[in-house]
Parts: sequence; structure tokens; C-alpha cells
Amino acid sequence: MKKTKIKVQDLNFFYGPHHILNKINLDIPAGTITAVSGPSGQGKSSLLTALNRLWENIDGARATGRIWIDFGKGLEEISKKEYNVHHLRQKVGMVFQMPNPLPMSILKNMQFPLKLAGISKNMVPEKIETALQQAHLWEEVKDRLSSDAQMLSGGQLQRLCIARSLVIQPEVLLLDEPTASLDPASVEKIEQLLLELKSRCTIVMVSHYMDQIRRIADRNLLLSNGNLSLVTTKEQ
Amino acid sequence: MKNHSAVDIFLSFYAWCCAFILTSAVLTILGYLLFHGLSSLNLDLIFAHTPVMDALFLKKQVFGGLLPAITGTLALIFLSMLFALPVGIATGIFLSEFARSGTRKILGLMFDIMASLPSIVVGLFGFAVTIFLHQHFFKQLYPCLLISALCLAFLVIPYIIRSTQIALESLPPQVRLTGPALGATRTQNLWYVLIPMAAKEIIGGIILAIGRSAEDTAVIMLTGAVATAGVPNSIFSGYEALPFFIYYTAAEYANTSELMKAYGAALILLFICGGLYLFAYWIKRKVR
Repeated sequence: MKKTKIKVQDLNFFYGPHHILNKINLDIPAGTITAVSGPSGQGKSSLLTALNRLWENIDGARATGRIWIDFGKGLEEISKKEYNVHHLRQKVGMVFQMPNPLPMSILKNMQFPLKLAGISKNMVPEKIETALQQAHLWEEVKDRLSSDAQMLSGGQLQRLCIARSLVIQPEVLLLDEPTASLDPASVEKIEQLLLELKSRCTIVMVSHYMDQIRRIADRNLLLSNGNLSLVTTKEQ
Repeated sequence: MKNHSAVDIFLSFYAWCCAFILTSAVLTILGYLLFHGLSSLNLDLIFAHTPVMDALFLKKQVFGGLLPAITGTLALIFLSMLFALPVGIATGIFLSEFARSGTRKILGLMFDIMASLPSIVVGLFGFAVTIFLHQHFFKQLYPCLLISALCLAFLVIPYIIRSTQIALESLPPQVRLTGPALGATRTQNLWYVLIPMAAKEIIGGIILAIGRSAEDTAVIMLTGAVATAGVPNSIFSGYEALPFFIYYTAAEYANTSELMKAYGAALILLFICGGLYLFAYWIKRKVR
């Protein structure tokens, strides 16, 4: 039985007058890949934004309920207003459906989260190389780190975004349809990467692709009409 | 279906015609200016009979040449941007990122009204304020470079505000969330992500504002521009400016050579605007 990494209790989520998530209760075990699937517009992405409180930056969004995450010192309630949201987001990384590199070089993209986290400059090159290697991107970009990030292909960009999240060593990684806009070869690389990452990072991933969920997810949760249900686990 | 494609063809033809007419108009103006102005472009036009080095190092004043008007115009652009950019960009950021919906609507309306003010009204207002200040507070204050620059700044601030606001507001929602998702504070997100992402459009607005500052005549003729002043040596002195020179020469020229000088001045003004545009474009590429 794996330790609980994330615990969600009575989570309600609203967009303006629309009630998107209805009293969600959920336990996510550490070191697993949890897939969230379901029809469009059912609140899968909203659930992810509740886990790192990113909804607070979205106009019209509102969440109630309680969420705890274990960052090594037991479950901490991250939904408390006084919990440092910037610290939370450094521990809970997020990758979006469309790759979103910053308008700067590959190197500066990688340095950005380290700068925000106040990591000392002499640690930076090593951390960047490690994260790019974890994302299987190092060999492809090591000779052109100062090139504009926008010059990379779609699959490379998405791996750069994953590497950018990994560079500050998050304990949880949220992925919102990370392979939706990619070709099969890039999808395979990213799936392989996620399988390697789950030993050091708990992953929650929104996906529409049942094949992909079967290949890599330990558990599949179905969101429908604002309610969450466990569909399958790897053991089944 | 057939009607639909006929409408498509008509709209496409109309759009091509509009683009052709506008491009032709720009090329005609440029060609006309080059045809008339190019022959009068020489060192005499700028320095008259003053030795070039003496004029450039301000050892001798230039009378009859355009150097004072060129330096006056450049000083005017520099000063007006110095006042307008910090205020305009900061207000645009405030409207886009910090203002509540109601405040945004009210202030937006105010700035739209400000943008629609005729420049002669702004010039008149600047002149009236100068007279008021002269009579009641600063006896030494007269219409001058500073007053003109402040009035021009007032004129172009709405452009800078709107271009900054629109550039920031039109960023895709996912881009806005990039910084926060990595743990950036609101200020860090604004500084490292949103402003660089919107820089291209913001600089577009600044180019427009620079162009407006360089060419406006109505404001400066009421607030400090004079026919002969020499190279400006203080922000509190009267000054010469290219648009004003073109205006009064075109209105009062005594012979063809004077009119040719005005064409030459128009061409120089065009080069200055073009040069500033290229400079802004270079910055835009650097920012990118």
C-alpha cells in the first residue's frame, strides 16, 4: 500500500455561475501516474488547477474544499489561504496541453524557474543538464542552448516544458493533455519519460486517449457531470 | 453556393483594391517628396554657410540651415517620450493587470476621449497653462521646448496606454499562466513573461507615438516653436522644429528655392521618422 501523496476533500469548483466539480473526494498515492479522463468541459483541467491553486490566477474561477499534499513532512493543507502559493507551485509543477516556452533562449527558459526559486548560480548549469537529460532533450539541444526556444519542434518544445518543470525538482507533476498536439514519435518519447519520472514524482495527467492511459497510468479516474469515479487500476 | 463565391470574389477584389490604393498613395507621397526634395538635399541645406565641424561642435550658430530645426525636433521627440513612456506604459499595465472592471471602463473612456482631442486644443491648453504659470508663479516661464514636450507627451500618452493595454490583454490565457505555474509572483510574471511577450505590440504603439511627436505642428506652434532660435541650449528656450519650418515655409515662401528647402526639410523629417522606426524595429528584434 503506497503512501498518500495528495488528499482532496469535498472539492467544489466554479467558473462564474457554473458549478464544474461537485464535492470531489480523492486520494492519490505517491509515485504513481493517475490519469483523469472524461468528456470535454467536465472540469479535468480545473481539477489540476485546484491542486496547485493556479485557479487563483484565472478570472471567474473559484474553488472550495480542502486539499493536502505530503512534501516529506506529512500531509500539509495547501488549500489554506496562508499557505505560500509560490512555494507550492515550485513543488507542484504543471505542463500544459500546448507547449508554452517563454520568448527567450532554451537556456533562459531553463534558468527561469531556478531564478524564481532563488537557487544559487553555481548550481544552475548542473541542474539544467540533469533536467534536460531526464526529459531526453540534452543530446538534441546541448550545442544550441542559446538558440531561441521557439525554433524547437513541437515534441521538443513539450519536452523542454517538462524539463523546465523538472529543473526545480517538483514532487508532483500535473500534465494537462501533454501529448495532444504531438506526433506519435514524440508521444512515445514523452510516455517513456513519464514512466521514468514516476519513481521520484507523483504524476496526475489529463488524457483523452484510452490507449495511452492503459499504457502508462496506474489508475484511471473518470470525470463526468462534475463527479469523479475510479474506473481502473493497473492491478485490474 | 454560387452567390457565396461571388461575394467572396467581390470582397477579395475590394480588399486587393484597398491595399493597392493605400500602397500607391504611400509610394506617390514618397516619390513626390523624393522628386522635389532630393535635389535640395545637401550640406548647405543643413549647415548653410557655417563650417560643418563648427556647427556640430556648437562653436558657431547655424543661420539659414536646418540643423537647429533637426536638433529641435530630435530634442522634442526625446523629451516627449521621456515624459510619455513611463506614464503611458505604467498606466497600460495598470489597466490590463490591476484595475477592476469598473475602473478599467471609466479610465478607458477617459483615455479614449483624451486620444480624440484635436492637437490644436492640446496646444491651446498648454499655451493657457504657460500663461497662467507665468502670471502667477514663474515669471521666467514662456512657451518653450519643455512646454511643447509636455503637451506632445499629453497628446501621445493615450496611444501608448492603449497599445500597452491591448498588447497585454491579447496574450493567450495559457501564456498568462506560464509564470504562475512555475511559482512566479504577479510582478515576476509581469516583468519576465507578460511584458516580453507583449513587447512587440507595445513597441508598435511607441513607434506610432514617436511618429506623432515628430510630425505634430499645431501643438508646437502654440507652445514654443519659433522661426529662428538656433540649436536649443535649454529646455526653457524657444526652439526650431522641422514640421513648423515646413509649415511656415510652405505658407509664406517667397521663391522656388525656399519651397525646395521645405521639400528638403520634409524629406529629412521622413528620414528621421524612418530612422527611429528602424531603431525601434531593431529593439523589437533584440527583445524577441
